[in-house]
Amino acid sequence: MPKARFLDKTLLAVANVAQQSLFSESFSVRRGLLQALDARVKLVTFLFILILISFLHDPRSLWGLYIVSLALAGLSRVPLGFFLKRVWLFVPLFSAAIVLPAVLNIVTPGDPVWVLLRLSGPRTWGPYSLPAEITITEQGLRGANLFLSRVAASVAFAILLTLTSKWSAIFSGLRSLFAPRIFVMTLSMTERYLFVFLRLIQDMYRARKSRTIHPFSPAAERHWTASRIGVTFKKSIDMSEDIHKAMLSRGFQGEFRSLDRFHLSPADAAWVAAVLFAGVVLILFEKGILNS
Amino acid sequence: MHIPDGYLGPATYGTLFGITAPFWGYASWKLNRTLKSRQAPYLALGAAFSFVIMMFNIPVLGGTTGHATGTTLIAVLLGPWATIIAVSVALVIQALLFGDGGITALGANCFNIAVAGGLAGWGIYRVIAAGSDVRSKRRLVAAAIAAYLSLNVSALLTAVELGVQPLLERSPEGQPLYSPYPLTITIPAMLLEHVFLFGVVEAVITALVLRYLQKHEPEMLRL
Repeated sequence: MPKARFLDKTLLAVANVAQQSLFSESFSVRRGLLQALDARVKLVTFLFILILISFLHDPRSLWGLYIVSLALAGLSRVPLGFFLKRVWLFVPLFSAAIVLPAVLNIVTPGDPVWVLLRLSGPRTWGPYSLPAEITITEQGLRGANLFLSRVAASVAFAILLTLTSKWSAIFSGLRSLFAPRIFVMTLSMTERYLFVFLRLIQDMYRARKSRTIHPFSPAAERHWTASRIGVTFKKSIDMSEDIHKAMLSRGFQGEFRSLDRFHLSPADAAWVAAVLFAGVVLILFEKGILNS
Repeated sequence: MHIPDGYLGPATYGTLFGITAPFWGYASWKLNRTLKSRQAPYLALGAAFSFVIMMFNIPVLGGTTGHATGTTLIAVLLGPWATIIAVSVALVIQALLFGDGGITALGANCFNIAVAGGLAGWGIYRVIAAGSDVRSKRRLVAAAIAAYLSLNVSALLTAVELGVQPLLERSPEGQPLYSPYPLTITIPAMLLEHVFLFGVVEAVITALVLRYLQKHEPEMLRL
């Protein structure tokens, strides 16, 4: 029997978002090192680390930071297997696949390490050319290593931030980065109503799936999907009106006040000092002032 | 299309943050004047819609499915300034909470998808649909063309930003420090799939949703 795969795929996409949010929520309330930090401090320091990573040019520094991220995950009670899977499963593995051709002399010319193919002669098509020998180059390997180390370190710290922070704390922490109040308020409202929408989509698709004995033609299914997007949009506009009225009835006058109160502790100060120290050490190491 | 962390050098992502910030500022100012206290719920629900639109899988060919980014659809329904903020908020949530798209690349992703994609989609739609009736076929054609071109504008910008990395950011030995592929590779790689597949899917979905709204909720298309 033909299956309506698009129904399952949509339900799966909705379930994945809910699952990711559930995991993040469960780790963010654990009693660990990063969970204990003030949201502002964590956001600013993680941003500093991500910018620092983008300035580092030695894979040893980047892999060093990646190992630190593993230690931080452990100290923050994030299971190592889960963390490794979450970090590597998407961006770095995808990046490894796309960077593979860059190790060849076609993309990165340089000293050959391994000859893969010998052609009768070089070929040229407009801006594209093939050398007589297709080789893996030393420069290509070094470039791929640097690129992958940077992506892995960046993704590890970005995932660590999302896993160990409550979403509301991240949004409130954005205020410390001078994000306008209205932007922060919109973000937190979006997060809240995102789950209302996910539930709405799930209900629509489950109802449809439960009534599907045989799918319609692809054209009819496309029309049906488009109608669900249209319905979701209509509901979003209606809901925004209702929410606005509810806000006004509770005395909202356009001013956003956060209930989160931040308390800087000695642990926060120690964390900031440690991050700054690590940053200085890495910069000195990269400049060659500090030897390994 | 979402550029991850590590693909762009500081010069590129810094510049793109700098270019995108005035658009965010102007869009906020403009919306604050028109929406007043309705601004936050209106934009939040628009952003949530922008986030979930990508989850709607649609049958394409031979049992495969595709999805739309919805930038042009949102631009047609909410206008360009609300699109810039709503799509940017959705991108921030994707990057900060789901690790989808880089945090350092947020300025670039917001510029490519929300700013350039939103303005291109809205502008093309307005030009082609100018003076037409809300229920006219011209509006559907306008939305489809705008969605197709807008997605390709975003893809082209992404390709250019990735492709200039080997030119802008090199080690003293000439080795690329970030995305290693030149423009001659990134542009065809990005455009091939967007010109022949994703752009078509985006155009079809945008036109079909608009057709549904023309039939059942025409008052939503008065913008």
